[in-house]
Amino acid sequence: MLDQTPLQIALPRQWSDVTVEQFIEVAKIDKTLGAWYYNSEVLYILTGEDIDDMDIDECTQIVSKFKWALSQPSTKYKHELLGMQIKPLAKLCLFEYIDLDYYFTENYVYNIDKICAILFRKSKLNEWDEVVLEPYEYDINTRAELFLDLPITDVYGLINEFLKFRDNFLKVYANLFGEQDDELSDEEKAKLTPEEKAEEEDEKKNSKWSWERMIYGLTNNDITKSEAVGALPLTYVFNMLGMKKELDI
Amino acid sequence: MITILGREIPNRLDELTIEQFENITELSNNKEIDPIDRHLQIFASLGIPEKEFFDYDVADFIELVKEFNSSPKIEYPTIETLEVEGYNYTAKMKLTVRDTKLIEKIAINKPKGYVSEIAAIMFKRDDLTPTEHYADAHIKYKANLFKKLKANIAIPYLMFIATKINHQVDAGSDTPTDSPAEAVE
Repeated sequence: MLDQTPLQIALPRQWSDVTVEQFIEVAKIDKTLGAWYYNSEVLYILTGEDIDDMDIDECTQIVSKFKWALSQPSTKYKHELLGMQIKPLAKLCLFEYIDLDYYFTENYVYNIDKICAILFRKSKLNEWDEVVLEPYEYDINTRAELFLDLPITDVYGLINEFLKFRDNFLKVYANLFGEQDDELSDEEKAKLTPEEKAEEEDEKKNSKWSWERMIYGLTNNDITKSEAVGALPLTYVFNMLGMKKELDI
Repeated sequence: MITILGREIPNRLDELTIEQFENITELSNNKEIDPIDRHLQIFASLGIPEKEFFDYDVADFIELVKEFNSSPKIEYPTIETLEVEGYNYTAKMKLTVRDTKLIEKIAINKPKGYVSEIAAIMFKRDDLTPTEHYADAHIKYKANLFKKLKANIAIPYLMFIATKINHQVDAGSDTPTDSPAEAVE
């Protein structure tokens, strides 16, 4: 439902009037350029109106109608969208988790459309009348575009759902992930001995290629088996890694 | 004007140029220099070399500073039209969103010549289009021209802007967060 202001600008009245695409664009606005830059960009994204020549008193009236935007979108999300259903996080396969982890680490708001593209899947009934989800073989970017016009409230809660899942997952398999060291400051780096510097470089390389190294190890250095390993259930893979580590095999 | 060491020194807004006012403001805001040194530098920027005060009694110097800073509070009338180098400029006590965005950018970066830049945004040359007026190069060029004008031209607009922006600050600074929801049902 849009609100028609006295200035004849149709304004969204709640988060459900804001699309995923608009939400991403708003999140990308550079807030360091000032509150008025931010306000005018938000209004342009949400209404399509260029308000640069508007008097700031009039603009303030409009901005005051956006108080609802100070709270977060609904914490709920839909389990079925666009004829697709959400894949339970506990059933994620290794490649799905790796991609989700990448998009979350990069920026989960900017990538929320791609996160939806990974989690929402087409389904069918198999010969045993059980629901089978499509394999993870489609183009994420094309699928992500389908979500851009949906209300942000349909999907926003997924962010927290995955963060909770990932947090729990990292705790359960903490012995496999090891401890994450904080990035050293320039001052701390300057104090390192040549040996410590080399060690830090090695750690950086290992961290950069951690998933690839893990897959390389799981395929016994045969990269032609990567797809097969990537399609294995995440928890199964990590249980096997845990077993290998504990038994030192 | 006040007389210091036989020289006429401007100390009122209708005597100081915008450039002098900017220098004084910058020095006054510099808390890393002590008050005596600060005022020595202020007087130097107005044309009295520091060395001329070397033999000056500190108590007398403090009196001079008091006199310099005690210019009468005057309500300067708002000047809405100017003629500079053959062109007419007009300003209004009105801020558009575009004006405010530019002024805010200046306020964030706080360049040395911020008063002249703000005056350059407020005063629009009558024969130019808005696109030409808001061009970065034009604003910079105009700011340079306006530096030589008296500060009382710019100050009423600075006060107006400060009042407006302070009034709007609540609405403007409350930007939505993009952190995730806390609970999912």
